[in-house]
Amino acid sequence: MNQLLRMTGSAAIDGTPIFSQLDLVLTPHSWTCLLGASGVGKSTVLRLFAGLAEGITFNGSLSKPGCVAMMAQQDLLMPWLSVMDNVLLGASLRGERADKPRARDRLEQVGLADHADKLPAALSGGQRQRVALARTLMEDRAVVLLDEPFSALDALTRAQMQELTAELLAGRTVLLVTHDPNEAARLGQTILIMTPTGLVDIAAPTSPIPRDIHAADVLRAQADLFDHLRRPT
Amino acid sequence: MIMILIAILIWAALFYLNIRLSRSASLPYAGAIVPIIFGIALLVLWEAIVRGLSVPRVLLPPPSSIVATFFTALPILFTDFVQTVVKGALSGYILGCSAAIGAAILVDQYSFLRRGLLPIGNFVAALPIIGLAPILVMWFGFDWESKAAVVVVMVFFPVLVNAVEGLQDTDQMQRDLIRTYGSSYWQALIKLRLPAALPFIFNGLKIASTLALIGAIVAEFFGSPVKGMGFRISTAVGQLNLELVWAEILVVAMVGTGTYGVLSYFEQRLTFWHPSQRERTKP
Ligand SMILES: Nc1ncnc2c1ncn2[C@@H]1O[C@H](COP(=O)(O)OP(=O)(O)O)[C@@H](O)[C@H]1O
Ligand SMILES: [Mg+2]
Repeated sequence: MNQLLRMTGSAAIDGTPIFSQLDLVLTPHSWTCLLGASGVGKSTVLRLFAGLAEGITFNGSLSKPGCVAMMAQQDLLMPWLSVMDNVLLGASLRGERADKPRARDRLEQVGLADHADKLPAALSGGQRQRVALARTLMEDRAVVLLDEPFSALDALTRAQMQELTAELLAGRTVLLVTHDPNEAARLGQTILIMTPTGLVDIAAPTSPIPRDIHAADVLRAQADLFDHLRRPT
Repeated sequence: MIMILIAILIWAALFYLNIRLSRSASLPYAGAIVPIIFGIALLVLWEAIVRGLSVPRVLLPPPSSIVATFFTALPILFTDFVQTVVKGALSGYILGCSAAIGAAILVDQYSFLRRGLLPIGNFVAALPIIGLAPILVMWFGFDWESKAAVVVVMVFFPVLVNAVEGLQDTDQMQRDLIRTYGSSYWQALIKLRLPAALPFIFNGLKIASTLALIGAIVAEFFGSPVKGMGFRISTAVGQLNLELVWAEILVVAMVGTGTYGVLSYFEQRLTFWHPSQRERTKP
């Protein structure tokens, strides 16, 4: 997966234009953060990359990344399946043999090996999101799309999840949609703000991710992002 | 007069016992004992009032003679049970419910069916059974087939509506996620959407079980062979044999309660994960 992932063009839903003249490039093996006001079309971009174009009219060119893994704000766990079976859901849906040892490894990575047999309802919100992360890792895709995956978590859990996710998704091509300037400053290797008129490229810190919350370059980038987001366009 | 007084005393004693029982939460099985004692108290009161005031048997027979009739008429009751419940209601129920769930899967996938079929279903559901039953008896004959047909028509729509609603309960995000797993339509249906729809489907099945019993009995009023619960009830009323009518009602009550219990059991086993079930099973 060394080919550049690029989307250029415009999209509409039910005849209402969502964005136009967008030119988005994902650098392989690195994290791209996409920010922007809500309703500007970030999730639509993500769905197009995932090949879920149902109901979206897209005009332009889009290099299909093939199979992607996706993770959203809600954990979307199946409440009737155990944590283990949720991690194995993809294989089960494709009718493949369940690779339990690997699923156990993934749960170990997110620190939930002891909870494998529980139902999602018995876990906290942060733990459920970690199960969703294990499920995403289980798919082992080169491209991972994250749609505000940490925004429903409390600040402390969110910081931990950011670090864990950055560590476990290292080396993959990641598109992270977020509304949190701090998150973008900690995780983004490319940071883009989506506006109705196009993308604005913000200089991202160059240190490796996940960056320390207190690092000077993170705080600078965060302040920079705040200014851009607040500036009327 | 003495009899009524004794009855009221017994009733009051049982009532007092019940209040004590329900207050002392420590006792095991209190949840089962309390309603049983309440039921016994009610029966004692019924028996005593009917005997004490010598209420005519045609108006209200005492429970003891209803139970006596129940046991002497057991062969008749069993024949009627097989004819009405097993052949009429159960076969119609199974047929109607499976057809409805199958139709729900089609309706869910083809939106033109939803726009076309649901209004027709609404119309059929609004037809009174009193009008429907004679027509279906003419079409399918006097025997149980026509009763099963009435039951099919009655249960189809409630199950269909609930199943369609359940299948559409999964949200867009969930479907998107499943799509990125590269699953086929059928895999997603069986592994995700049908389980998610089960709480709704069970709701429909419970409503339909009551309707099936009513439908099979009432349809017999419009023609039947010389057996069946509806037939027996209408002829026994004519003969002023009210004990037999009550014995049949007893059978209906037992069948209804049993069916509900069986459905609830499976609902609890299969939808244990749903908030409504979790609330119930929590101590
Ligand atoms: N299914 C849909 N039907 C109609 N409009 C939609 C639909 N989904 C999204 N939209 C519209 O598309 C726009 C962009 O949505 P979205 O991509 O979810 O924004 P974001 O993720 O940036 O908040 C919004 O204005 C929203 O109202
Ligand atoms: Mg969004």
